[in-house]
Amino acid sequence: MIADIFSNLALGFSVAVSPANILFLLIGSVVGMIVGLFPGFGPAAGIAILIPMTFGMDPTSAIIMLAGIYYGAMYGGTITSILINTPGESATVASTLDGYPLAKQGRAGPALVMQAVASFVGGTTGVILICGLIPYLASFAASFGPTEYFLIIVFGLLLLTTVMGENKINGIVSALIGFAIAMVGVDIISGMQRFTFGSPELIGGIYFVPIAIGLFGMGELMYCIYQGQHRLDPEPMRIGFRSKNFWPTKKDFTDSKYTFVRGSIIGFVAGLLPGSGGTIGSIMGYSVEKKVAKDDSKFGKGDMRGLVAPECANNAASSGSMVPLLSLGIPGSGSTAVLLGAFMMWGLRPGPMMIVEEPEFIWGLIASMYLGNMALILMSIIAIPFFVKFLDVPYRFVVPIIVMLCVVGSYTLHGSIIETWIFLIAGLLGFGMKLYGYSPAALVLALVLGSMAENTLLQSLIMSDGSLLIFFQRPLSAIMTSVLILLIVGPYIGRKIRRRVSATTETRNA
Amino acid sequence: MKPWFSLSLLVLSVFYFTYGIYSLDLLTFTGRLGPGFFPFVVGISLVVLTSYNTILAFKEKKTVLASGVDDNESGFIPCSFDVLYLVLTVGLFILLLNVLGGLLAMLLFNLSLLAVFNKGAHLKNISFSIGISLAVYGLFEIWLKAGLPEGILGL
Repeated sequence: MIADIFSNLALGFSVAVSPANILFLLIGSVVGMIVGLFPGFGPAAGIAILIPMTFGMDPTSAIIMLAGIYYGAMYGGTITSILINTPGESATVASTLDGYPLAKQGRAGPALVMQAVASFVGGTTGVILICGLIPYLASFAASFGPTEYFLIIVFGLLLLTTVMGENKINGIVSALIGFAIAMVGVDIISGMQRFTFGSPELIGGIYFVPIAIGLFGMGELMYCIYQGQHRLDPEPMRIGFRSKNFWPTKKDFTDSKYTFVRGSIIGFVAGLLPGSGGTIGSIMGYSVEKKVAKDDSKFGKGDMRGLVAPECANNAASSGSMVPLLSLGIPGSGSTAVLLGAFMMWGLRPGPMMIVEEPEFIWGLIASMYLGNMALILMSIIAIPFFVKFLDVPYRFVVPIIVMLCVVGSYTLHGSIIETWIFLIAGLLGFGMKLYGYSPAALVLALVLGSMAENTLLQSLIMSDGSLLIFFQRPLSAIMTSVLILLIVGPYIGRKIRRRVSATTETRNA
Repeated sequence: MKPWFSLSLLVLSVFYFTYGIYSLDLLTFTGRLGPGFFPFVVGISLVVLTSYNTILAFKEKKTVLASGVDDNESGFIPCSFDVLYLVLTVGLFILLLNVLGGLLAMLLFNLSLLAVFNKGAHLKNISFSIGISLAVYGLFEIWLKAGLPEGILGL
């Protein structure tokens, strides 16, 4: 097994270590860090906006760059969490709890270095675990039929909408809107046009990129403007790595030595689950660390472990979420859904067959993640003063840059003005969704997986002559269906039991 | 605004479901599931859930109105006008893209947006608009050769 991992990685490094790939990896990582710096602007938006710029590129270089944005944003997002108590990315929310108090104590430098080290440890641990897990999960997934695939898609969407979202119904509505948009175009089984209204522009379906750019780019931007972010003038910040106080102490490292391990493993497991990812992973990492600490009184007041745990976890989760994407072809979050869309754009279909048919691509991407984490830790420490300068740029000047990249990017995909209008409509929808608690991530996930969900459901029902019992016939599908039912019904039963128990207790007390 | 957003989603869902049911077959002529089956399931679920959401949103609004609680008590004043202005300028930008060409449309968009978002700083706005429009034009047209529209002036 170890020999296999090393030979696969050697193949990966032979692909990743080319001047062009290294250059695009660095560009992706820098862009990711910058994207992570701006509050309310996540990696999904960054990836979606940059997709049009990768059209002329080799697919491997392009995916390496886009993946660099994805995990680079995790590094960048924490800088604002520590310095201005505003998480740049949802996965770095937990890092504000102890990161900002550390900065207030005059320990911003050590906090920034420790977050970079923790991100590196989490990200690299995640990549090592990917190497061990992907081949096995892929060979296991090779035995999946359409029923199992359909159940995994539903499972992922349900987790995304019920675990992540505040309002479950809104989450499910978001996913259904994604499915509805995915139905536009020609039905591949019957050859019939659906929801095209006779327009030749819609025969090929609605392309996911303008929708993703609109929802994540324009929608988020409008939300930030609605909140008045463009009216604020940033306070200039200066951080120099030459000062002695910039570096963490030996005690910081010794206190956190087990935190690195715990945070990384918790984050990786959270990343494996569809719909969970970095946000849940970092919160879990923080909670577990606080629970296992002998003295948790300093947590929330500037404990280094409270920063290291979520940072290890969110970076390990971003690696972990690549496992279901690469081995099953099922993304677990909005960002990985946009990445899957990018894969499909180049005719790449992640899944068990891809690992066999395109090993250079898969292992090249994984090897690039090793290199990316190495580049990011160096950039995070040496170039922190440079990245902090981006925070000095008033948001009102960031707005036109993002809008131009969104509009021009949507147009240049196919030189279509209709797709540019679709982008604007998706932006308005994204703004409304963000404002009223819907889930743009669930919409994009359902849009990308819509045709796969339909095909696998129809295949399953055709195989069983329309009987729903097919979802219970094979042991694996029976387990998955039971988990799904439990996930839907469980919370209601739990609530009823709790109510009954509290009612009984009240009666006894009376 | 929440009830109206929910209502809009409900109207769109009803339209999607109705159009689907009238234009697509649920079963093929051999009796198998047809192209309308999945949209039917999606459509009916959307109608049910968005109806529930709309009723809930209107009930919430009624309760808030009855309690007389001011939405702006928290001190947060939303910049609705700025959002509307952004949408209008982006709409105009898209409209002018084919007419004026990529470079001029970008320049005009930047100037009109910054005239409101960064009032008074004319020189800064003009130099920023020219610089950033040229940079994006160079990135897409010269480096990526993405083919921006040329417009009537051929730029």
